[in-house]
Amino acid sequence: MANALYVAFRNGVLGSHATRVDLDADTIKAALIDHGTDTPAPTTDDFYNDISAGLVGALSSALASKTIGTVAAGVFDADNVTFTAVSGNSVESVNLLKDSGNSATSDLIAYFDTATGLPVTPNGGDITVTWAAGGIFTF
Amino acid sequence: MPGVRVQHPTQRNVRYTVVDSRVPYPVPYQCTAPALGGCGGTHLFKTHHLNLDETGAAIVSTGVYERIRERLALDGFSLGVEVRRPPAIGVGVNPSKPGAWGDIPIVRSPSDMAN
Repeated sequence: MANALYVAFRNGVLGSHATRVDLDADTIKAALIDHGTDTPAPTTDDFYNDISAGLVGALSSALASKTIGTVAAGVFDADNVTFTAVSGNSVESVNLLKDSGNSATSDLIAYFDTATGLPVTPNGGDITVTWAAGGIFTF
Repeated sequence: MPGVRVQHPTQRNVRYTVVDSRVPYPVPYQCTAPALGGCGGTHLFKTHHLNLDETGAAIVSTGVYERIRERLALDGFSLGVEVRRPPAIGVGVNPSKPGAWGDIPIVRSPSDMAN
């Protein structure tokens, strides 16, 4: 596969999805996913409960210092994110989602399976995800 | 026990590949290129890549250790040394940049090849 925005998120931006994501106002988090348990499908998965079985460790804290259109036109960016003391299984992808507090209504946003250090075999220490200098993604 | 140090008797500076044939991927997994952190292959079963350092050692989480320790023992690894403060690992969503380990040799577990 390749890094991608979830189709449901893209359609939601255009207004066709039941819920919409406000990247600025909503709580955006990252998830490390074990594909051996649950392989994300960016073309068909829409909510976090579609991939949550594969979660390794816990969701990240909320992305901080979010910007929209600051790095460049149409670019979403935020501070790098650190997962603390990850003790679970090997990880094949990093995913962004809107955390509504309910996995069945938490929209999936972005899927990253092509990055330096992926797949990653946790060592029990922290895992820090560094976003590209050009921003997390461009819409 | 945050991390467990495992050490291979002879392999040094390689990406050691262990396949857990009990766990099929729901969808075949296309591993990233060696320069990024994977092996470039397509995996049908859950695969763990261990970056062995110049002493043949790697640190794995307890979750990984519990899943593959029998396989590691078969392959001759020394097992079970606790690491209280494992170093941080970096993942970079910037695929144009090579991973910290670079394009190192990929080695498959002999136990996998026997299956």
